[in-house]
Amino acid sequence: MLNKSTFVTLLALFLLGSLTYAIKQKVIELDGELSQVHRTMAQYQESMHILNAEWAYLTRPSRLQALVEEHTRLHQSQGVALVSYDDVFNPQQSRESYEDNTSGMRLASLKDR
Amino acid sequence: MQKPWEQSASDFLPGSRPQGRHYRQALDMAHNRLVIASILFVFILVGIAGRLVFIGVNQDMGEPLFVHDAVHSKFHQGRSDIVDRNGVVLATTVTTSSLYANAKKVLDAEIAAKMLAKALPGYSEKKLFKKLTSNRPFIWLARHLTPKQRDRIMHLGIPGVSFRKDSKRLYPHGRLVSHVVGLTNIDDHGIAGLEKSNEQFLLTEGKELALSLDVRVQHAIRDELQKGIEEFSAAGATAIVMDLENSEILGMVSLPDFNPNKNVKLTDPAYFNKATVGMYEMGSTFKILNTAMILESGKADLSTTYDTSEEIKIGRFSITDYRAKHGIINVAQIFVHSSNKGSIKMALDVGTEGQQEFMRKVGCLSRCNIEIPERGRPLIPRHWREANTMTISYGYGLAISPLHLLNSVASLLGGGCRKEATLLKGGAQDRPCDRVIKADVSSKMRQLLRLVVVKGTSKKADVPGYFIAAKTGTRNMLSKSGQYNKDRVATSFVGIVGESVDKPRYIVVALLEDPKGLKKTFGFTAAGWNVAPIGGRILGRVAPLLGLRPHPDRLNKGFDPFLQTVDFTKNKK
Repeated sequence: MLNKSTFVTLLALFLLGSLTYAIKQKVIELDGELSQVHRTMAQYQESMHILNAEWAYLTRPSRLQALVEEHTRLHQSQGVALVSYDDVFNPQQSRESYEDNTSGMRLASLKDR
Repeated sequence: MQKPWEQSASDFLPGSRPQGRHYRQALDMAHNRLVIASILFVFILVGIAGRLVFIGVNQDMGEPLFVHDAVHSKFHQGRSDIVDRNGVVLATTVTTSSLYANAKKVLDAEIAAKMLAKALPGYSEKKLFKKLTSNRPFIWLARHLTPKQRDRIMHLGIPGVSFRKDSKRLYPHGRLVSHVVGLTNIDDHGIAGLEKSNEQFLLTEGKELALSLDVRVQHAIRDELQKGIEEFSAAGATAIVMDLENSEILGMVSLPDFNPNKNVKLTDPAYFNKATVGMYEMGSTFKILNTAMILESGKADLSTTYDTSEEIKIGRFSITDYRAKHGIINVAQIFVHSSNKGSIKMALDVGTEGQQEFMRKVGCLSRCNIEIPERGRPLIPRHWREANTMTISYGYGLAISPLHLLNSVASLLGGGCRKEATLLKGGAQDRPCDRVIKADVSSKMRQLLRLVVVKGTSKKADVPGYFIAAKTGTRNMLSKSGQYNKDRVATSFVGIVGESVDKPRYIVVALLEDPKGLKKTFGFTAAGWNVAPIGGRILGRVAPLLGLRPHPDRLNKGFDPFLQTVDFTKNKK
């Protein structure tokens, strides 16, 4: 007949073994999920990669220019359309500086005020 | 009573005589053997149990827990992307599916070919049938199918037909950056352009190759050149735009060009990169180098005068000036009115050796160090004599590429340090200044070029509000017999744009091959009528695109006082 200590030891052994097995199975499960996540990420990365290429194709400057010319009345940006802070908020100071210009250029938007 | 084990065998056998000691010995031996065998079995069982526990507890047993598909567990792109300076994709590799057949397993080739031809409209049913009846275990039917095409074919469920993962190099911008980016062959190896020169990087580094190009600038250049070719019925054109601050090329176009997404024969003329391989005599744009040379040598300054009324002969040829100022004129007038005779006298003052050394210093005598394999070597006189010195002074007799012209003029106008254009973002970082000319000589050159725009032959290159400084050149093209053809010219343009004379920012070099005279040009084919307005339009588009504001108040500031006293009006003959 088994004495108490032997019985307890055997029981403990059994429980520990079961626990170890259960933990290991859980880890295997999580590992499987991780692999699945990696596979999904790789698929998304590939999709994004293709979408980037498609975006570059759809936003070709020649295509955009053709679309703008066909569907809008926008013109190419001119240097005279670029203004500084002073041009907007300190027009007097700005006007004095550009009236000195000998090439005859005027900022059209300010001239119209 | 005698115990059983104390009994001997003879107690049981009839007629045997009991032998107590031997029997006990036999029993002991049997007993021992039994014990040993039991212990052995216990060890084996313990070993098996232990192994079971070990397997149960241990994770890494060397065998995979799951089948890891190499393609799906991590995204492998293969060949890296090539992008512009803003991250826009110029070249990329995509995974495709290619269709193949094991002709031996195809049950009904006729029906299979019909179904496949219906699913793939671009493929001939006859050719598919021929492949399906070839009896080969592996034969390609269609390469690089789109996902939709693949799904259509999969749903057909044709036996003997299957897919294999493939990869294809794509160029979303097509011909826009073809000469710079280059292309790959069917085995995905680079065979031209940056694809070829950066083969190892693209295959092994795993990160994208960032170029200095800006696709918006590239398009602006290409658009204007294309319009110019159509307007003047030119044979071809090329242009390069570079940032003077960091020597990075923002745009490089050579027309005609090619589409790298389609099969290209490398012998096709469109494949020829005029910007880096084409060698041209640059005509009067070379006077920038000639004038900088004499100013740097100290043998003349802006006010030094030369007599251009005297006849100058080179062999049996008499040198003339095309619509230039005549008489005794100074260096500034010689340059602004592009006097050939004046340029010759300036060059002779420096001398042949001095001229050679200067050309070497600015990089006109050797191949350019640019990152593409298509680089030409200048055509240099075999025996550089005085006659060559004279002709080179006004741009004949030394043939260089537009890239050479860009590098040399950028060095002269961009502050005086040697500049070598790069196609990679950050490619010219931390380069020490290798001084070619003094900073004040560089400033004087910029002032002279500005005067060419205001008073000279480049008026059509001006852009309101911006500091534009430019020089044009026109030279006769060589005929097949080696003689100069008076009716056919090549015109060149060099221009810079900036905020003021002290802050030049971008430089453009443009060249037009064989432009024709028009009604609006009064039949003239000189550079001031064709390539100058093209160059001006390129600068006018690029400057606001890159955020450069016009400063009309600074256009005339910072000029040498002497230049304000010079009379630049042409005198009548």
